[in-house]
Amino acid sequence: MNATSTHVTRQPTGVGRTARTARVLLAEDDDDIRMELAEALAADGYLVIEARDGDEFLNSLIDAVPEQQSLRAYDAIITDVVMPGFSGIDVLLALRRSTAFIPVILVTAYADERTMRAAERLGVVALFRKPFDLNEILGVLATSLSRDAAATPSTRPPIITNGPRKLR
Amino acid sequence: MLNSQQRSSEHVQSESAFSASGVHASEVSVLIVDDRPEDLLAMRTLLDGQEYLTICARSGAEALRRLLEHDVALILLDVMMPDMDGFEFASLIRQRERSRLTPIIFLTADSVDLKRAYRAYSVGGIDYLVKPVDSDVLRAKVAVFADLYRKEQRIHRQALALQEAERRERALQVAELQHMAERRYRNLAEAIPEIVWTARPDGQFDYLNRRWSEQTGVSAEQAKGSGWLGAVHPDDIERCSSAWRHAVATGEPYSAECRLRQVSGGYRWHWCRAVAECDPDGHVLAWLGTFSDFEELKQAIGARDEFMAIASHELRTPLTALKLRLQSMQRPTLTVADLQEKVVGAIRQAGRLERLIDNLLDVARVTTGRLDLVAEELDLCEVVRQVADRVAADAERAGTRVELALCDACVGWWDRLRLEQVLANLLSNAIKYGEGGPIRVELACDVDSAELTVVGGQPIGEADLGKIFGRFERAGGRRAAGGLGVGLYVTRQIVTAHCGTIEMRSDSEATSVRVSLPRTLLRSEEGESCDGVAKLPGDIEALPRSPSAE
Repeated sequence: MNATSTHVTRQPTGVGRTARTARVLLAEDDDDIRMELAEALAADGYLVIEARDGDEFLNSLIDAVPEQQSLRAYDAIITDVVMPGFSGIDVLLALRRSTAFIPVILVTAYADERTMRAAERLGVVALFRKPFDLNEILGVLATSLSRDAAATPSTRPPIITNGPRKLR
Repeated sequence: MLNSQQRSSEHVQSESAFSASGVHASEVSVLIVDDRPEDLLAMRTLLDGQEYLTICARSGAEALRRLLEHDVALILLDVMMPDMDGFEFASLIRQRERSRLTPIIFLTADSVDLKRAYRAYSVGGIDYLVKPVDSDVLRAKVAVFADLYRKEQRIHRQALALQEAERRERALQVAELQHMAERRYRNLAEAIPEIVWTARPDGQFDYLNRRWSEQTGVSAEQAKGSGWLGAVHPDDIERCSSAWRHAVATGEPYSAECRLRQVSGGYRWHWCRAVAECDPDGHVLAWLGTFSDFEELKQAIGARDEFMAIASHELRTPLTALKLRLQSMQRPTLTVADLQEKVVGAIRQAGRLERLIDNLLDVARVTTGRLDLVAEELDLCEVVRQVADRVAADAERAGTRVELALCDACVGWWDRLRLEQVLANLLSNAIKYGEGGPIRVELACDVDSAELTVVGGQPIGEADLGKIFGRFERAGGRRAAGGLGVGLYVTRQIVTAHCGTIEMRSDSEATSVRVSLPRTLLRSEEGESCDGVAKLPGDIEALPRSPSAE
């Protein structure tokens, strides 16, 4: 199956905060959650590329990796951790070199120790525990994108929000 | 008080002087005290050949020392002595417990002086003789006291022997009691339906009850010392024995979890505990321990943890969707029409949450065997139509529709709500896993039973078919609309409670579930007591469990 053909792309429905339309790869297996998030992101002016499970998520990334090994097809990634097929974290770990420059936001219902450690290792921008706050995740996304332009990714510290389970 | 050097020199002197008489502590002795050696010699000669020993002292001080060394039957005491006279000596020894009652015969060279005689009696003298003493009279008197002393000694010895005999008797009784108590405790330890053991203070096992060898197949002899570790699962040995070493070193209570090899094969989880038995000073005398089988508990805990993890995840997911939907409705740019549409979605998501909670409660009810049926006379065709109507919208969203092939009527005694649940579960599965393929419900009815078949859904592999009725099982990889993976589990429990059967078949084309329900079994009040209901809780253990397909 050609992976790109299954990707759902949602055009922005609102005006974004940046001059250029930012592209967000959204991987979430629950239809309702993915739809709500995608709608909200589009309303905030983002172009949303949706992946419905771990395999689609992997395909979306592989398809986008160009020759020079640095992935610029997406400005940000929001992914669920536990999904059918590959887990979000497995995919990111496998493609770490290509995705290192992209801010990643993790969402999960299982915020266990292992997930936390993996998140730390990946240097993600934030790990949101379900159920999370819509405005908060949109805020963190916007901040990470504006910061992304200035900061070097290797020194970017993970800002973990939501709930008592903070990484740091 | 004499200094030690003086004392030892005098002692040597007197010993050497009288060693010939063979002073022996166990025989009857007579102490003769006189400052004049010739009188001493005369006295000794006089008493020689009698059945007692004579101990001589030439001063009060020496006499006192001799009394410290020997018990004597009688003291022959000269009144007139330099340093300490006889009266002073007598009153002194009367103060000492061991010589308080020793008879004293005073001897004096003076002619009868009544004042002295009275004084002699007042310090405890029993006689007052004037020298030169008539030898027969003195021998007779001494003999009387020696005899008296011997009798006293005998009585004393008998009393001691009696005491000793009593003590031994008591010790025997105590030992017997201890033995009985020990036997009782051993019997108790043998009877207890747990593995009981004891160990020495150094941690070496020295007793294991019968249950140990019955369960592990390892004899108690083999298990003694550290042999018991041979029955512990290899992965648990290190943890188990290091905790035991710690307990033995510190005297703290021992507690460890380990798997014990079973004679019937496999391992079972045991909780191993021990406490130290201490003397009043806190020294460990022995260790008393048990192995408690908690395999079932361990499994139940595992199942509960798994359930909690899945439940928590599955509840969070629709809650997240609902929360996002409500928060998106707060945006100021929305039109009334947008809002209306979003409310419909929110209600649908709330319904999804509600169904999940219902399912969770059902699982809890079924697991604890509290699935009560309320039977009524109803037409199954009607139930099928109602449920099909209810899921029509979902089917349409999935790009399919539910076709019905029903008989005219199928009346029986069943629980309406529970059968609706069965149908809803089967239909929603068919929609969820059907990928838009056709769905069909067939209902046939004969005199005894109703046969309901739901056809639809993608083919399911052999491996999945085997465990599909288990808890938290989902076939295949992709999860279209979530769910706990408990639908078919609960469905089967409901069908079983109706004394019916359920089976799933899958070929290359489609999957079908066939439910067969007896029509009249539940008519009477006690109709629920079919085998199916009784078997419910037991069934659960038999189900294969594996992580749900996520």
